[in-house]
Amino acid sequence: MTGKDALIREEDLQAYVDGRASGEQLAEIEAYLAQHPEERERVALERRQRAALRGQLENKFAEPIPPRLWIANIQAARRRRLIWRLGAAAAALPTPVPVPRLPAATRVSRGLNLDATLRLTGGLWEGLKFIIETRADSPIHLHAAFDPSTPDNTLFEASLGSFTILKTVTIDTAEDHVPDKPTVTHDAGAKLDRPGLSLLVLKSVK
Amino acid sequence: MADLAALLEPHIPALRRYAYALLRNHEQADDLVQDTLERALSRWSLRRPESDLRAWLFTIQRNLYVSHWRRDRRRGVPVEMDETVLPGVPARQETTLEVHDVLAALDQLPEEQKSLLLLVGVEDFSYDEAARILGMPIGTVMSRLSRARLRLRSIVETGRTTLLRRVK
Repeated sequence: MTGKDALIREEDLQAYVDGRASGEQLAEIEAYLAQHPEERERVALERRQRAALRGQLENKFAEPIPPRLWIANIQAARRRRLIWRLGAAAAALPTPVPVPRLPAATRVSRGLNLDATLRLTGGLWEGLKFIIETRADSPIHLHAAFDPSTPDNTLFEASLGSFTILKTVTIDTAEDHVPDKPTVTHDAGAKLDRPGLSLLVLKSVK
Repeated sequence: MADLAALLEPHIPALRRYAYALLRNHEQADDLVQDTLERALSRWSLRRPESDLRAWLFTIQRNLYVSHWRRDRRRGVPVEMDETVLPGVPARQETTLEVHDVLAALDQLPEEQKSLLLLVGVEDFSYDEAARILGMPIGTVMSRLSRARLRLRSIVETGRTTLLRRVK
């Protein structure tokens, strides 16, 4: 029996407490406990305490999920915060810009030629940073449509006119890295690329 | 986004249970769970698709608790105990003395041991999963688990002797 005893480690006893011992291991543990009443009592107490803890938390687990934790509500709140930030970004532009709705893009791209309209489609818009650099003296139109039921149909559009000065608009949609205010900068002395060229940089924050 | 709700919502009852066991306050527990879900949504695209969603959510929640919630609590943000247990007074008479309020006894353990007992003993995570959630080697999990249970026994044991003295 002594030889067998040596095989039983504290880890085995813990596995027994957690109901994770089975087959041969379980049989060996039970044989060991049959020979060691003190250990048997200790392990039995630990099992009772484990069960008691679960029991005390049973009601909490059974509670219905409160509305503020419904995923749809948390997403709606996130979208409202994003709209507010985009509105602030649009308001900071020197030229009239329609307040955009929701942007969404998962694609990372840079150096796109934006003579016409840029369209990006993607799933989730969380965790993206939009940096738009353009030489423009005519309105920049940012438009994004977010379709909650089919995120893949989400559109991000930017249409840009003719360009004389550089504007950089940063719209950070990542919750954790968002500046208080989206930034808008001008640099009249920026070197010109060919007329009509604009640059849109989409950066993933991570 | 209906699919996200369908993926995440089944885990909310367990996240609330874990949060409540840590904070012992219903309102704050739901604040912590809400933080966890918001973080999960903002990090969703960064999640490795093959990783286990339940373990991922518990990792987020535990890290949030350790980095933010516990700090606030220590700093003295008023915490209202929902179930104030007076020393030596059993919360429920029908349960035996030796196990009468393990949840309250748990509060006297260090966070790591407390989380370990909850993840393994209540949420039924495997030792491997618990090790990953807590960011510790599996060997450490086994020794801490054993130590945590030893401490829990002695706390409850002390509580019982206090009670017996009071009854006399």
